[in-house]
Amino acid sequence: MIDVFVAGLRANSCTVSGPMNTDEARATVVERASAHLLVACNDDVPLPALVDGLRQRGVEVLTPGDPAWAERLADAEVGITGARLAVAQPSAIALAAAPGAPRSTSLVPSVHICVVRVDDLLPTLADAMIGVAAGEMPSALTWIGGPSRTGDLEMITTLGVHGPRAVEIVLLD
Amino acid sequence: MLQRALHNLDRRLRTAGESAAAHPDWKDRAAAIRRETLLDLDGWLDRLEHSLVARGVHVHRASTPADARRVVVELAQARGARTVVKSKSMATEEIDLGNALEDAGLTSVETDLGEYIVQLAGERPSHMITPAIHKTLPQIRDVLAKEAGTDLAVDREALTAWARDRLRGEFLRADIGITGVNFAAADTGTLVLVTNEGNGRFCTTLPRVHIAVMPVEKVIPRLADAGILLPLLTTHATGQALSNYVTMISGPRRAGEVDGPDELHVVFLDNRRRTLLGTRYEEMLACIRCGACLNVCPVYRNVSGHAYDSVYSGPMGKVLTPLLSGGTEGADLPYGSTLCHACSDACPVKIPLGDMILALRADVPDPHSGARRRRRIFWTVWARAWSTPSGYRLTTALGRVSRGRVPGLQAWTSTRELPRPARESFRDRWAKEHA
Amino acid sequence: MPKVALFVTCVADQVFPDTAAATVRVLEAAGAEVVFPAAQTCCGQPAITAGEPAAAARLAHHHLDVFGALDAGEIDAIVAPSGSCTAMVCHHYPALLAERRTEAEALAARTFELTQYLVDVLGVVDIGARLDTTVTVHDACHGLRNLGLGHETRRLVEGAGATLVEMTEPDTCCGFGGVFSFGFPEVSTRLADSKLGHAAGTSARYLVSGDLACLMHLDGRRRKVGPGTVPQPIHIADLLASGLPPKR
Repeated sequence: MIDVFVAGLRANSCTVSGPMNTDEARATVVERASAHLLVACNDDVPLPALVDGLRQRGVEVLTPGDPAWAERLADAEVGITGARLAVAQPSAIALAAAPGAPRSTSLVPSVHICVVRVDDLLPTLADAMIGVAAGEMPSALTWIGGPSRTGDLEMITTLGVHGPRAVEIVLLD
Repeated sequence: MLQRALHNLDRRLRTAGESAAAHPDWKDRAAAIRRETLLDLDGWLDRLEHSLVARGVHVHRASTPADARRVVVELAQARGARTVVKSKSMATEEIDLGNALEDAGLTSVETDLGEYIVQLAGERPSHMITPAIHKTLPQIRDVLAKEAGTDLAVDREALTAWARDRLRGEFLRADIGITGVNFAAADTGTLVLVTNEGNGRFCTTLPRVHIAVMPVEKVIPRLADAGILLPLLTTHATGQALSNYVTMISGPRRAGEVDGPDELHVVFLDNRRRTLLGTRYEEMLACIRCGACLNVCPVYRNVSGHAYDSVYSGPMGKVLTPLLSGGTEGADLPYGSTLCHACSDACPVKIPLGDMILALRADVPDPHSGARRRRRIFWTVWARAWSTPSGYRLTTALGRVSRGRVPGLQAWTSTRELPRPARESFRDRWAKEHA
Repeated sequence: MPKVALFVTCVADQVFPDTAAATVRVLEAAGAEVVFPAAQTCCGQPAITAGEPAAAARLAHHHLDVFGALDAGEIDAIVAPSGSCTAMVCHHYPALLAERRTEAEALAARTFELTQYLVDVLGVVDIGARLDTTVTVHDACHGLRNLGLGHETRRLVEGAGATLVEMTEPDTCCGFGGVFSFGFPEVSTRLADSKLGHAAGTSARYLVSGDLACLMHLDGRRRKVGPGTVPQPIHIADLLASGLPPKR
């Protein structure tokens, strides 16, 4: 199931790393984000001390509780989020909006890094939707299969038209 | 251009079709869900409204396009809105909402890249999924460069980057985001929106107010049904296993959330749809607007969407346009079909489009009723003559004497030779041989 | 010996009687006895495509009177050299003749297109014809999508020893479409050109199909612009009959 998930995401222009443990995942995310000046990070990322780790590397981190969030988000180059769940077929991650998990984090910055727990991966969308619909719905549940893309220019795929140009999935054991 | 672009699409769809073939029963399941909905459309709409209202969503019912336009314009004016961003939606095209907003003094910006290009060019979309499919890259460059006021390279990445920056500004400025709805789940009160570019997400994330225009047949009984319908929609629309963004919205921003709209309005648009219930065209309301019938239609592939002169084009447009207008628009569209039934075969929810196109030739009132009367007289006389062997023999004998020189054949003979009737019919030959 | 009533179709009767005769030869070669109900005229399809179902129904009633009266114990099947006319009976009659639905359904159940009858009913793919030639197939729309035909023509062609070369998009419409070919001659002709181009790409000698109307349209276009390298359009019955030994 993990192989199908990873293959589907890669076929849809995502990069995928892992599955790996918490320390490795945190190091991977910090390493990836450290090339950037400002990073937006949701509270639902399942990696303890991630924000501290980023700040130690000299990266400025914007969190949803920050009063300057709305004003500064447009300058963030990377958005880091967790995921409510993921499905292998078709391959996609699902992000639930919440006070610590704004919708914009995975939309406005050019790069979206999403940390997904392997335990949250389900085989199919059809099965997953039965469970989702039975639970309490968030104000917005956003399924993401890959980077923002368009086929409007002569039906040839172009990435990053409105949302992120890159989606990087980190799988957590 | 259209043919080349559709060829690019066709390759993707054929691959997707092979993977979808792994689930041959999905079309049946999807068709069953859509028909279950239509059996009690009003009931599901009531349940949907109840669920939406419970989530703090405002529901407006509009029976005509004018009603729907009025609802949206009044909402915008009451909130002092100046700029509206729109995410591509056939429903807002159907009610011509963009022009209504402009007429009311608002700025309305299409944010789907193809739709934006078409809007800047002062044209109409030519395809439901890819509105600018009729335009080449250099033509698109010219349109965008004119808007930019500077020269732009004929380069996909560069043009996309320019549009991204320009439209990002519009999203940040906009007071209202307007979208359509792909599905609306009655049980949970959830709106499902499908996009690839992310413009639909921006329209439902940054502006203070989100207004969704929802044709009544978009309701589905259960949110779980979306698990079946979504992959079917996207494989048939673009060849993707799932579109890159599917947003499920269940109410406005909640306490403590830092983004999302404060207000969410849904406009239920009827526009004669409910009059189709119980008729032979009821199943047309099962349509999920995937565009599969356009992509396989030999006529559509040859003439492009603009030839239809209607919001909905291709086979589904030939059916929907006359039905939604009560026959005042698109009365000629059902004749622009070879009746090859490729559309019926391609439809993921099994709508018998070919049979409907054929039936509409008889059922749509003809705006030129004199021509219809003459046609009826001709075929009535023909049917009388040919419903007896003697009448058939007499008229075909006349045809042989005239050697096929009858008026009205120029439409054929200008591009094709026409064979003449044989000197001796098969039945005469048979009678002689078996005498 | 199976006994077959020939549903000749008005187009074959009046314009292509040789194809009708070839149909009889092919059926006989496959071991059937053929009868011709002389009172038949036309199935009514031209009227229904023109948007006049009442006129079509009048002819459909006549067709049902003629063929429905045949004793099912004596006549095993009704066979037509046309997927389109067969589809009119099988696909449209039950709804068009709603007040005689049971009769119409019974008629539909024993009406077959020629290749469908040979291959799917009789189980014959080799009727004794020998063809040393190359053939490409155009899947006529109503046979393909209303009747589910496709492999039958191909198996018969190969059963006669001919080489089958598939064209690009054999299942795309040729652009005829009845009244469409008069109402939209430009698009109709462009579709014919596309089909003929695909056929020429195979370098086959013959372009075979099961519907005379498609063939009339394609051959009419080919003759207008000159044959060039385009295969000769031919009905499957004519092709198979041409490979049968001379009639004694």
